[in-house]
Amino acid sequence: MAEIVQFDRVSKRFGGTIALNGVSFSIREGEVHAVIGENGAGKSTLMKILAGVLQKDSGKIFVGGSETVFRLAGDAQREGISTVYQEPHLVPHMTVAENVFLGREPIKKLGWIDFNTLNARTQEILAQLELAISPTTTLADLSSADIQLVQIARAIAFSTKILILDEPTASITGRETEILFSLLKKLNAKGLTIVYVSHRLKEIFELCHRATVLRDGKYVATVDVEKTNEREIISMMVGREVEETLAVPNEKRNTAVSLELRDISVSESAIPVRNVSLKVRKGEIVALAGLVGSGRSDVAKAVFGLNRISAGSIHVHGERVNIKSPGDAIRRGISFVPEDRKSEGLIPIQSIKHNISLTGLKLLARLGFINGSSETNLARTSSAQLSIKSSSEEAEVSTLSGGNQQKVVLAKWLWLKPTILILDEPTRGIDVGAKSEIHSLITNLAKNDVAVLLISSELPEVLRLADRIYVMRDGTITGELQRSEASQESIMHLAALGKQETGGI
Amino acid sequence: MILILAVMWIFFRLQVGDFYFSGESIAKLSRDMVSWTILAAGMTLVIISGNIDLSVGSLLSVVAASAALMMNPEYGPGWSANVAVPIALSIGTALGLLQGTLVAYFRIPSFIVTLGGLFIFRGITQKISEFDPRVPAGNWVVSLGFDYVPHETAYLVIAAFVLLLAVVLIISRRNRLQMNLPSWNIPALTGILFVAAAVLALLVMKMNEYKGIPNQTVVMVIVLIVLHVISKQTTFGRHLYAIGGNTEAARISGIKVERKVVAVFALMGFLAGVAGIVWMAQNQGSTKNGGQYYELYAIAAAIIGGTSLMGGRGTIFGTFLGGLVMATVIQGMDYTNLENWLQLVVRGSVLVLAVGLDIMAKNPPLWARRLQHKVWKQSPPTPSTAEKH
Repeated sequence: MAEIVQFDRVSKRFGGTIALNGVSFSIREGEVHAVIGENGAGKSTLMKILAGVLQKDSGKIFVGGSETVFRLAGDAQREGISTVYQEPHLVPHMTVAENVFLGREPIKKLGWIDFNTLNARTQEILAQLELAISPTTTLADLSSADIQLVQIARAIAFSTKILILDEPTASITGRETEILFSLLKKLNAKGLTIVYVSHRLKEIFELCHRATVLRDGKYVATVDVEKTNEREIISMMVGREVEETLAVPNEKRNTAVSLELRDISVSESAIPVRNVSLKVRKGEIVALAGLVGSGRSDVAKAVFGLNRISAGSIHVHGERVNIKSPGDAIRRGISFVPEDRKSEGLIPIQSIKHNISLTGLKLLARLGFINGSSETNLARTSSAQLSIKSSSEEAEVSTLSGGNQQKVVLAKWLWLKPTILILDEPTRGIDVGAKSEIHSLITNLAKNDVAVLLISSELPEVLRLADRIYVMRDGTITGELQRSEASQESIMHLAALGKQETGGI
Repeated sequence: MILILAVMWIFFRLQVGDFYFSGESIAKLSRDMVSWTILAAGMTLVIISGNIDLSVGSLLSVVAASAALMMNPEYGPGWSANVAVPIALSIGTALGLLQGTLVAYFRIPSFIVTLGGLFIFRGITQKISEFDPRVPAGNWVVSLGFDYVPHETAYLVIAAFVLLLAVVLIISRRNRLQMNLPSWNIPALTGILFVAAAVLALLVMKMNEYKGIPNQTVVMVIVLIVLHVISKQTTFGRHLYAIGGNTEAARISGIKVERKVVAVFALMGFLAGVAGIVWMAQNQGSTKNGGQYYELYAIAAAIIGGTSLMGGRGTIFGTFLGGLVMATVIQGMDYTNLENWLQLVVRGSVLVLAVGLDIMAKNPPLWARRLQHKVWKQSPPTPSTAEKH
């Protein structure tokens, strides 16, 4: 097979951080080529350079045998390279057809948009892809998986030879992933070259022919997917063998109860919570499992004073408390790592230092004046403890990789030395290495007597870490499982059906 | 930004002649910018918190008018400045507090609340200023508007200021080096201090050739320094940046978002009061249309100085530079011989051109980058080289 894209010693730096360091490899025409690596390995940067969104500092890129320099996204598109990004780059309040042709609308005389042609041609493209989506649906009414498919329709509508997908399955479910994959396989069979960026190894084994591994901005290896296995790829990504840490089951049944919810209801939250009771003991890791939208985050937000409870009571270290605001919760020794680090966890345009200190500025200040040295010290110690990788603690958080951003969120809550820690999806969208670091961090906190309430959609994570598991569905708790009786099946049963799988009812 | 200021100053110097760099013109420039630069400094904090305040021009005039009325013996009670000024400042603060409450607790967008305020306060001013009350001469408020710092004191003040700057820079350098953070090297530090001392001494000398530093300029400098410290060194300032940067994250981090928003609007009201008193002193009374358009000057100065309308970014020093740009543009044309209508047109054009060039140099739009690639076919020029063109 001919080589359609060739990277020759491509380098790129952002300020003091080297994002790509002399990366060379090539992509063959007609293959599905995976680019994998931990967050911060440089895969997204490389793809953005190929798509013309970023400029390389040095090195060469050959497309179809001749050297190419893309200065703008449009340049790459004209060469037949289209990209589907992780977060949809579409307009939610327009129809599917308008989005597919956005910026390239067929027009009639006088500049009026020719809606008939627009819809008819979109219908053709969708039919060709065998997608059952109507061109006139408003995009906002579609599921995130369908929106993903519309993005692909848009990308291939215009003589695309190479399709880049940047973590396309980050926000869609397993069933939807299957639909996406069968579509990609069909397109590939017709000769489309696909570059697939992901850190979900299963997907790579299902879909891809070859995989290139990047680590810390450097090229590690390109392997034939058929001739390798998950373990080998992980060790190439991380640079060492990763043991699947199985947390030591700790029997902390008789320690004091740190956090107790008695029959609480929350009516003002997004998903109303009804009659939730739970206990978290000192040094215990308790998981709150359930599907997205089951009300898990709403329980956490009520404990943290972001929503008012309408009935029931909250007890902290045996004392009934009335938590009216996050400030109250923090004073009671509660820390809360929210679900969405970009919109709730961090202030992306500020430095690592300012983000970390924000939760307890008063502790660093006298008479309202912040002590700059203590603040810097704090940021340094935290960065070292959590091994946050950055050029300095004054680096803007938005320039960090997802895993490092999540560590900053953890840092800003851990330096307060909480006795109760609520974690909402602490490892969502981060790479294997950072994930295992965060897992051992959580285990260590519990060993040091912190009561941990862990909300997670990832069942392996729940099973690995939790001493006890509560399962939620439709705003209420449908069951409690001890570590010994918990399995993916038993949790899913409670989460999806709301009953224990006991054979009979 | 400083480059643009220099170009504008040279331009006006060529247009106007010797008078432009005289002590009198410098003193007047520094004096005329006072009231709305004080507004601009407060506005910077309001915008950093993710809000806007369109009412400040009218708020300034309400305070000016009520202070003037309280001190006027003919139409008002004729109180002394010691009574009238604190009451007037409280009125400004209270009105700011009220607007802040509507924004924070009633969730009405600040644009709307303060647009309403712009009309309401203007209306109230027109009633209070019905007879254009004058302030009786011979009290300290009037001297605020008309008197100058004695010549010798001016040098002392400048010396003290440079000394303070030296101490602050040296301490901050020591602290940063202790933490292994990059900081100024010794030659750069001495260079900065030397240049600052020289420039300030030159300015004082020039202004002393005329009458000296206007008192109100000193008020402005004090306000700017205080607000700079608030924004950079205090928890309150940091909280404002956090709220503007990401309100939800700030709330979850334990910041009482609503209270801080009320506080920043109250502070803005107080500063509008200070600006109002200065304005009243300068005009020896109040008029129905005092401070009109000042909200726009203030917003413009903040934006020119790099404050982001999205919230979360901005500095008081930047706003000061923005204020200088605005003052130069507004005042410069007055000295030319152009007809009034043409002055307005040129003034507007100079403003758009100056700010436009500054923004394009920092972040060139697509078409400008394309043009560059066509002109220089080699490697893509970086933004820093673009700045020079």
